Amino acid sequence: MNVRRAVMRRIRTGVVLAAVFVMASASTSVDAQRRGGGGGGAQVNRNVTRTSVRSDQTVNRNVNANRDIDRNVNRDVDVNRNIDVDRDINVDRDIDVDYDRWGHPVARGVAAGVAAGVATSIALGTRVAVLPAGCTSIIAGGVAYSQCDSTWYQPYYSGTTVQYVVVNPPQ
Amino acid sequence: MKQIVLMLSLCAATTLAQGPPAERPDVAGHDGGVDERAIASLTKMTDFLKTVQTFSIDSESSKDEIVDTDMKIQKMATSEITVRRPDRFHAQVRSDDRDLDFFYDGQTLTVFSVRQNHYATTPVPPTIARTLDAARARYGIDIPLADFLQMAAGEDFRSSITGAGYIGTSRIDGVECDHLAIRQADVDWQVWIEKDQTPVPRRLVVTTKAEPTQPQFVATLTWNLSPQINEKQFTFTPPPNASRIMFARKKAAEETSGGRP
Repeated sequence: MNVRRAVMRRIRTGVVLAAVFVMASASTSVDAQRRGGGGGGAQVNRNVTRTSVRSDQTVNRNVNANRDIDRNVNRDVDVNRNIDVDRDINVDRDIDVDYDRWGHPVARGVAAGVAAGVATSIALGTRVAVLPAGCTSIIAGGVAYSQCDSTWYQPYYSGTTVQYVVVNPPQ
Repeated sequence: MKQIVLMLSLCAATTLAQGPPAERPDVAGHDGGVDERAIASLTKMTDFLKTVQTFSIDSESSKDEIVDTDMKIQKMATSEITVRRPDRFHAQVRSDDRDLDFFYDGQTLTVFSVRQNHYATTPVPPTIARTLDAARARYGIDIPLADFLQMAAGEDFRSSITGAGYIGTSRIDGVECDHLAIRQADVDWQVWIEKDQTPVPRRLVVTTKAEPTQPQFVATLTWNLSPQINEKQFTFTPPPNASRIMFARKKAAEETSGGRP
């Protein structure tokens, strides 16, 4: 009887601990999800819900049949010759930006850069959903930037979400 | 023991609530089962939409987002879209996460982020249908309720359908509608189509089957078939201090969202 009671108590404790763990982890990411509102949540949520019944294959087939992508590529770049974001984004294609579970970039270069006191600490081309605190919005040459200490970010649309890419300071 | 009895009675109640089997539609699980009434209703709607040159749709919608692998969070939005076929639309989306205005004037598409005061403009094809496709393929931009705009432009959706059922009559905002359930390879969808002389869709539910959680997009639509059109509403004029940004091509966009573990 005593043994049984002890076992039951242990099981109960385990269940309570497990429940606390689940609650803690759930509230953490739900909380992060809430803070992520305003566009930053894109990295936290899995935004996978289809709003269209038409598949990507159907869309691509139509676009290719009409050559609608190719036709616009050059004009697109010309129209936006001041910025050429495609180039900026592609500069460091191999950069591996890890995101922690709250969607903040775990930029390995950040810690190293700060420790060494290096001026440009985040690699060019690094993309983030949320800017660090204390940034200044600047328009230079008609282009929007955010300066965060020594790092310059440029906003761009990823789909319809505004995100940011690390770029060289404006000339 | 008491619990078991309770569970059994709950099961019985659930079974009763589902009604007699005869009233169940012949869709669930029966790929290839296509009810002619469903197809007839769908065809009536698409034929009608093709005849409407200008219209506006107000909608209220919800969209599931997934956190913690399997928890669904419902995000709400309202949108208003005004269309003048074949080459003008203007849309406003006000959602929990972002407020967006879309402008299409037959030559360029502009997406304006109201809260951040950013906008991006890109040259696009000369029709609504091709512009919607190009924006989605190039930049991953989904314009609200684009499917109905594509139907109005004459796209035949029936080739993707693997099953279709006629569920029955249902009232949306007090108006009698045909309720249809449709199966496709990647999504299931339901649509409620007005039964009267203006067979417009009044409600849409899209279920994403590729996801284990089967998240849904649900929209209720209010149609205006003779909206006030002002030519200026299709053209974007940047507000003071608005700054122009770029669209990233879809490949880059996907890489960003794929950066999470």
